[in-house]
Amino acid sequence: MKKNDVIVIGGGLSGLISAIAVAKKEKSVTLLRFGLGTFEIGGGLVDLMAYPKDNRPCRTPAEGIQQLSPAHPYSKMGLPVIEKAVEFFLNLAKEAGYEYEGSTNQDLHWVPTAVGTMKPTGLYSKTFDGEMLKDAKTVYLVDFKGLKDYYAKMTEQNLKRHLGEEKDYKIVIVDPHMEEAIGGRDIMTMDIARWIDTKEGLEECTKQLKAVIKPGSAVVLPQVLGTRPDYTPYIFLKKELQCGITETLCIPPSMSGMRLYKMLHDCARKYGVKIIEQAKATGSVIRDGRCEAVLVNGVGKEHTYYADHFILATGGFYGSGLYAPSAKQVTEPVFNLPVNVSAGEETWANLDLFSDKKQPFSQVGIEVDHEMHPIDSKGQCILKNVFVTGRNLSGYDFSFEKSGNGVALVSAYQAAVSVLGGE
Amino acid sequence: MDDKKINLPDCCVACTACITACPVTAATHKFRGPKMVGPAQSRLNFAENDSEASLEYCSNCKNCDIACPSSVPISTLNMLARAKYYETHPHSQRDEMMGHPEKMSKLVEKIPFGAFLANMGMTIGRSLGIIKVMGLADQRPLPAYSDQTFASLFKSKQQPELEKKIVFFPGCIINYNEPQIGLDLIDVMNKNGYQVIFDENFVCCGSPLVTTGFLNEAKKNAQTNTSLIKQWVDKGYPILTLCTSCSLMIKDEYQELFEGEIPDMEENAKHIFDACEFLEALYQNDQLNENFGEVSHEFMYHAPCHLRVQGIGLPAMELLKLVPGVKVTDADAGCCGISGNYGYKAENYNLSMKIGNTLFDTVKASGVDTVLTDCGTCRAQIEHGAEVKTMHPISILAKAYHNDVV
Repeated sequence: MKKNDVIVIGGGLSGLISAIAVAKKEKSVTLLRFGLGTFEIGGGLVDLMAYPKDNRPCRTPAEGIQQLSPAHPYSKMGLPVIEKAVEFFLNLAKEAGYEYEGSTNQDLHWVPTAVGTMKPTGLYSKTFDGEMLKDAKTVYLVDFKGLKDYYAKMTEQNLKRHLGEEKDYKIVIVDPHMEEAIGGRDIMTMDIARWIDTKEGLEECTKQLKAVIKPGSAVVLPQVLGTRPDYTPYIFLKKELQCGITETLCIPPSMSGMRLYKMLHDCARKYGVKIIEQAKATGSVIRDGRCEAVLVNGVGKEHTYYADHFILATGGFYGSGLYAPSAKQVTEPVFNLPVNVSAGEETWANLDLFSDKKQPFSQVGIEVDHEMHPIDSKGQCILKNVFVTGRNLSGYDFSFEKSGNGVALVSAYQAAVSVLGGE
Repeated sequence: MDDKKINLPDCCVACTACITACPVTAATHKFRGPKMVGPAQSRLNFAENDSEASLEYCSNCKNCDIACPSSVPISTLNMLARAKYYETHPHSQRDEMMGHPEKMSKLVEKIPFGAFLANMGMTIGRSLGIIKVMGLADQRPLPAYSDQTFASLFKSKQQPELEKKIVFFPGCIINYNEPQIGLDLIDVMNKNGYQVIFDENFVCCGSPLVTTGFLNEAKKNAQTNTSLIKQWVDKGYPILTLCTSCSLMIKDEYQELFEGEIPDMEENAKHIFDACEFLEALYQNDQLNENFGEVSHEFMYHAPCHLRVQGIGLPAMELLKLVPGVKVTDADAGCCGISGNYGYKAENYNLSMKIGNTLFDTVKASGVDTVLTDCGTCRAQIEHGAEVKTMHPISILAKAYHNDVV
């Protein structure tokens, strides 16, 4: 039976990052994926850490990370690993021609949302240039004719609160000529982004904006600057308008998420990762504290994938990496690892939705050691050649902390390092 | 988690992953998209029977199913809704024809020089404008009939008597249009110690019937094929196909569409393989005959959507890499746009070509003269859109075993 060096289970951010990191070292890697991951709902930002304890933001991600409890995945991995993982990601993006910016040591980067609030993040593509809004005297809010669920007027009202009333705010509406949509499907940011992907669309959009927008201003757009990891639309628009440009965070589907997905997918292929789509891992073959194979419930029949090492990156409840058959129990379907449910069902949720505390249900997950091995309640390693990453992990509330893709990235990097034996 | 696959519209969490992946949605606003037309509309139908006009745009390519993180069989929900619609609405004559390629082919087969006349008829029909009047896209060639069917060629094909056997399910395209590929499979299987059995009683898998809303007829075909397959499975023989839409239909879509209505489908599915899937499994188990001769050629490979949704990766790519001299790149450029009979319909032609454009551009930019792909209608579309030759990967393996050159 032929065997892979590594099987990665899960095609989200942590699955792809760990697969790339291992494949770069010339290991044979097969990645089993089922569905698109959270790219198109979660967006393409890599949040590192903004709210370590309560609703007061930290100054820099590194500062926040140092305030975390020892049970937090970041605390297990430590700041030097986090910095290396960030460097790994930034290099990957650069190599793919779609640079990301940010670091653990710089002040939180604040990005405008579609409703005009500001959200902190860690690593970001150039199209999220929230910082330039501070100095702008005139802010143009761009809307598109027919675009669903985007209200520039609301963006304006809320942005005024964050950026100050004294700036001049103006709404511009671009007509993407999508008459075909009348009576058909609603126009989403994705549709506008696909229009801007085309040379004609980009030129037409730029022409309409140029007729109204004065150079030296700030321009706020919904997430429409293309569907691909390619800065051409951003660079072209910025140069033509002679303005600062930023996109906002919008409702799904997220274009920046799709760009990040495409970037990582292409990169994984480049390094020879074998990607199996529609492969839902449902079990494993375990012998003497080691995993020999994972089982995939494929179309019509079960498939068995053998490897020396396995990286579990199947996500949380949304990605079905964690499953709650009843309110009393949470399971992990592939290796049947123990899931740390820290409290009884009645205390799963903090009912005060916008309270300043992390949600207990959000921190449910698998306990690991510093190498990402799954461990039992006594701290003993359960499976020597299995490593757990991303939203599978316990002890963090990605939504509250603004640490989602950050923990996914760093744990994926650490899992790869562990597989490679610290190479 | 998903014991019964088909009643799952409520498992849709409306995440919109399907919309980002749907090639038809990318090409036209007229289609409301998989999420709305599939699970959302299916939920509404619990309250009141209603049809969604833009359902006609769904090509059943299954990219929505591949993108869905919640196992919702979106495309099959669409096909069931389409069947429901045609329970109370008449089919066009064109759809009668497109849904029944086997019936058409059998007619042609019965006439002396039928294939020649039919092919000539198609050419004349085009120049007289008949093709267009019938509602077919006259911009593209219709699949030409082979002058001999696979069934008739099989009779004169010499095979060694071998202990191990596989049963070949040819499907309409191999049987009536491209029988040589079926003969190539026989050579490849013989080289691996398998004798190929051909069962003349197999009927069309039903895929074209399902997509044109003839669900009752598809069910009859499913019953016929399922009981035949069962008999072979009982003998311990695997069933192989050379068409990824056939294999998907008999492995998976039968179960989604007719679960609980036809016995043995689930057990059968465990023994049904796409030909390259079967060979790759041999390779994984160190049982593949790897005595390939050199085939010095550069190819591009296109993965049919109906292969991608089977959860077996790209077995042809793995096999082609074993052939000395073969250089092959996976196009990874999405749906070709044809989706069986979808792109042959006059009203879908432009849409179909628009969907395939990324693939055509990728092929053209690569400079290859031949694209390899496992699906017959994908081959037709790529030849038409990218203006290159196409082959089934199994033919390359057959050539490699013969030490032949392309």
